[in-house]
Amino acid sequence: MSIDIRAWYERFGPMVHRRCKALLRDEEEATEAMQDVFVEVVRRRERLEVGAPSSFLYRTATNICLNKIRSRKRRPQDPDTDLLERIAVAPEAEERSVTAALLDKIFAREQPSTREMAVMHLVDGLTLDEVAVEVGLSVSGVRKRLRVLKEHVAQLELA
Amino acid sequence: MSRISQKIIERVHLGEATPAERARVLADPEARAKLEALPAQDRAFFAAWPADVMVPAIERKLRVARAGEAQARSRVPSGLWILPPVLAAILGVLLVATQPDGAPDTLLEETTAKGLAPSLKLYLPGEDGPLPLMPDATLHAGDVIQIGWQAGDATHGVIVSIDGGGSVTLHFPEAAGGSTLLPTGEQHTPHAFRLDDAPAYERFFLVTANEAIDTAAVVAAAETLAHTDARTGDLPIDPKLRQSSQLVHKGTP
Repeated sequence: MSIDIRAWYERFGPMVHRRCKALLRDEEEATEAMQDVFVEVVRRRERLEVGAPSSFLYRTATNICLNKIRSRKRRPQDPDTDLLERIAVAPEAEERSVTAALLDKIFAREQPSTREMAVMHLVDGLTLDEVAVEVGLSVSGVRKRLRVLKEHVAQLELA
Repeated sequence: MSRISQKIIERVHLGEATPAERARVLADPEARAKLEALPAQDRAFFAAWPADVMVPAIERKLRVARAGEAQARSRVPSGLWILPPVLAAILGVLLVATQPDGAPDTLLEETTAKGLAPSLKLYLPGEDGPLPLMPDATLHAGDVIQIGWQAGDATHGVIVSIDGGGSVTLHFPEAAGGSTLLPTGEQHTPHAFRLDDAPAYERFFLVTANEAIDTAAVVAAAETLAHTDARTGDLPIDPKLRQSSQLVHKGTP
């Protein structure tokens, strides 16, 4: 799949930046993360098959931001950011990095990460039903995956 | 009832939402207000980050990332470069002896050899250890090169190469975002480099300074030179940066 960076930036740049800024709460970090999102998309364009680009750009932004949250030094933040940090550092089943593993999954149409689903549910406010639709899993599948994070994220309520 | 996620609002804004999603957003006063605010936010975003500024920055990051990928593809396990114990011991004594303060050469600190010009050093594996590669040597696809340097009086450095096919490879730092601080003394990159089948030549550049170097700018300069005169020209970089190079000819198998 061919990607015109300028065209994609002009169409999706604001959305990606808003997503990054909402998660990172830092203008400079968000701008850097936004650049990383477009770099990743171009690098993996051969494996890209999407009907709605905004969805995978949004998810790519989420995962790149989770990686940045994991790697940056902790500093006092608001409660939402603390929650994001707990999600970001929670273990996945895989040993690979968040971005590498999750981008592979996104582009290969495989299961998304538990962390990503946790962000959708706990930070973005999607119901379990909505998360299930978003990631293409059953509600019970989403519920099962989120249980993995429960012991690491105190606020995780699966009701 | 859950709140409507920003993602759905964004999809409506971009015209990618389903009719049901759109109806849901328009029926929710809070979500609708967020939707209606997006055009103004878009305009503010592009005022702050116009495409003419940001797209080249993204493309530059992409080039650096690809250069890093090229380096990773060409890496050779460092075990190939283990020196015979006796030679290693001799070299170790010599290296420590040549340093002004006798500090171990692997320390990542900003100590320099005053007046000693930074230099690039290429080696080939030999039965008794690495052999210095002579300037303008001819090698072949598949040959393995160890890339080294003498930091001299420089504190920071970047090493890139350009091949005859116009591809740029970043050799130091290992990652595009890595520190450009040069370990002092005679050093080599953690991984050796295997020449691929690109034609004609591979030219290696050592760029040095006494302050942190913008790796992306060096890679971008190499990309520029790759399309003009990579065999003999200089990297179009800040004149305050010093550069040296070594050309390796590629012979036909």
